[in-house]
Amino acid sequence: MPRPPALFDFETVFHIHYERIGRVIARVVRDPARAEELAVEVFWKLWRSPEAQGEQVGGWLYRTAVREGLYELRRQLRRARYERLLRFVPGVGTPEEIHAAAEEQQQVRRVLSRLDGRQADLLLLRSHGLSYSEVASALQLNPASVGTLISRAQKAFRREYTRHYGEPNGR
Amino acid sequence: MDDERWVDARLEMLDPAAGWRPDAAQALHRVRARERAVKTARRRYITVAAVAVSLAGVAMLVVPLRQKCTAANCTDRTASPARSFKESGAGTAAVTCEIYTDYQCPSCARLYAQTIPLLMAQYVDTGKVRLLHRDLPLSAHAYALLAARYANAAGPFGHYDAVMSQIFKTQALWSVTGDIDSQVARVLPPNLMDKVRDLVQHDPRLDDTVAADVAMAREDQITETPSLVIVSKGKREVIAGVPDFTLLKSYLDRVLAK
Repeated sequence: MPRPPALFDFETVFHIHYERIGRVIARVVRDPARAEELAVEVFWKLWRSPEAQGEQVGGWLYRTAVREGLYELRRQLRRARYERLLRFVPGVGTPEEIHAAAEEQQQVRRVLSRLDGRQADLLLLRSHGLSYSEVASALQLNPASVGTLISRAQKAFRREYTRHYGEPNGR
Repeated sequence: MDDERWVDARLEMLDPAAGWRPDAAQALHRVRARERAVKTARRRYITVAAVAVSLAGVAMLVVPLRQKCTAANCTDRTASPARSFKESGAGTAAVTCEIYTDYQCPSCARLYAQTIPLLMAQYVDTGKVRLLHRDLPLSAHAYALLAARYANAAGPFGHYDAVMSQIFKTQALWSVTGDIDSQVARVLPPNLMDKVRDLVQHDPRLDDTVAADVAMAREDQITETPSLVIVSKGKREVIAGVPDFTLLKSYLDRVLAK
């Protein structure tokens, strides 16, 4: 049976977006190698989804990338929690984990993983430099309401962060 | 500090190390390798399925043919086109979509350009639905039957899909002149094109599947193309005029959920 018409240039789309998609995911998951694996997964999904291969491909890629990243983050945190419960890992963290900056990164990631899915999507895309209209396109939202939704997401993030870790000194 | 700046300051901490760059070349290679692996697996599956279908077909045909050949005037029979080339998807699928088309019908060409690829990707390739092409050349279209002969002649050689797709894609060209031959020749190797051409010109049995499809259309009371018959649990439901993919999808999801 006929396949989709060969109008979609996958390779060009790949070269335009791959690095940014890799970086979006790398912000969410700590391990860059895993981020690259997930970025490949995102493009594999695009390859297999003819309905995504249109003018809105950029938005589709960002949306899928952020969701893959957040899914992986939640999975990692769940696993870490179970491992701690089962004492599979010692109580003292690795040198990387006890490093203060890394610890704060982990705190940010934990808070993101606890937020409502769309709020985390909004914050990650906005912080990656996407304009309101780009965020609206990626998440299929009404552009007029994106500002309000981002503002709510920021408030929710700050409230959640402060509740768990307190207000950072001098910030 | 306001929420926006406060949150941005936290999220900036997540930036990957300055020197890190995702390796695009390696990633593209991985996507391609994955696609190749899927294609190989699919090819293996199709080969195994084709062999199984062929063996079953041979087993069913051999006995009656031998009986006929014992009679007087038994002549050598060349193989008539098998039906299986008009089918796609898993034989075990719970639902079958039978699509009646006329190669010269513009709505059918649009259907094969827009809706069928999505149906294939989301339902047929995933094993949920089996797709069966049925020919219904309308008398108003002078070249529709000839087009069906080309597609059916290419079928037993494994080129049914390619020829069908080419005929629909170039419909605007050949429907004026009737020159289907030159369009089909673009997608077939020359030696195979010679065989197909020979069958189209000389094999009267080539229309057998068309006649069977037309008879089936009569039973289904179908008079227009494209038309769709959804077969599920032994029931045939006729939908005249195939709906757009969104509607078809919701309908199929409902039928599959039953």
